Amino acid sequence: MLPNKLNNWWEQDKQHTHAQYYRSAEDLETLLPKRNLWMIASRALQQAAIYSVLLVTVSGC
Amino acid sequence: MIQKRLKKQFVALLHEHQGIVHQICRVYFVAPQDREDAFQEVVLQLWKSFPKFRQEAKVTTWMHRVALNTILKKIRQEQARPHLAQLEEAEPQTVANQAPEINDYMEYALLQLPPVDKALVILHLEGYNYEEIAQILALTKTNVASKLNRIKQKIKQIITQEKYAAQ
Repeated sequence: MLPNKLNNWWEQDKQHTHAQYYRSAEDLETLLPKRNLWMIASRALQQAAIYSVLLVTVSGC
Repeated sequence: MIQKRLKKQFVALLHEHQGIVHQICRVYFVAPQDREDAFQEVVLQLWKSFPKFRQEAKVTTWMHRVALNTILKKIRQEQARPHLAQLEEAEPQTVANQAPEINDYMEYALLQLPPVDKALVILHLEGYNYEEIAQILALTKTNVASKLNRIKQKIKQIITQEKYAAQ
C-alpha cells in the first residue's frame, strides 16, 4: 500500500526512537499521580448510583 | 492495595510497550519539550482509562487508540487557541522550515502530513487493517481506504518534489 521505503524507515526509526527515549519502570511510575482520582470518583459515583436505586426501591415498597 | 496492584500492572504494560507512545510523540512533535509534554499527557490518559481497559482488546490496540486520540485532541486544542496561531504566524516553526535538516525523505514526507493523515499512516504501518483503523479513529472503513489511497499519492508527490528540489 504505502511505499516500501516508508515501511523500512518506520521499522528502523522505531528501534532508534525506542533506544533514544527508553525509560525504566521506576521513571515511568513517577509520571503517574499518587492516587487515581478518576478511579476514586468513578467508584464513588457507582456506589452512589447503587444506593440511590436501592433507596428508591425500598421507599417504593 | 488494589490501587497498588493496578499501578504495578499498568507500569509493567507501559514499560513493555512504551515504544508506541514514544514513536507517536516523535512523529507529531519536533521540539523535545513538546514531545515530553505529549508523552506525559498520553501516559496520564492511559492511566485514567486503564481501569476501563478489558483484556478483550489487544494492549497495543488500546494504547494506539488512547495515544492517538489524546494527541489529536491536544493538537486541535492548540490550533483553536488564537494567540498561539498568531505566534506561529509571527515566527513560523513548521516542519517545512526544518526540512533542510531532515535528510530522510520518508521522515520528511510523513511529518508533512496533516494530523489525522499521520494517524492513518502510523496505524497502517503498524499492521492494522482498514476495519481496525476505522474503529480506532472513529471513521468508516470506506473512508479509511480512500484516505489511505490519497495519502499514498501525497507521500509519493512530496518525495518526488523534495528529490527534484534537492537536485
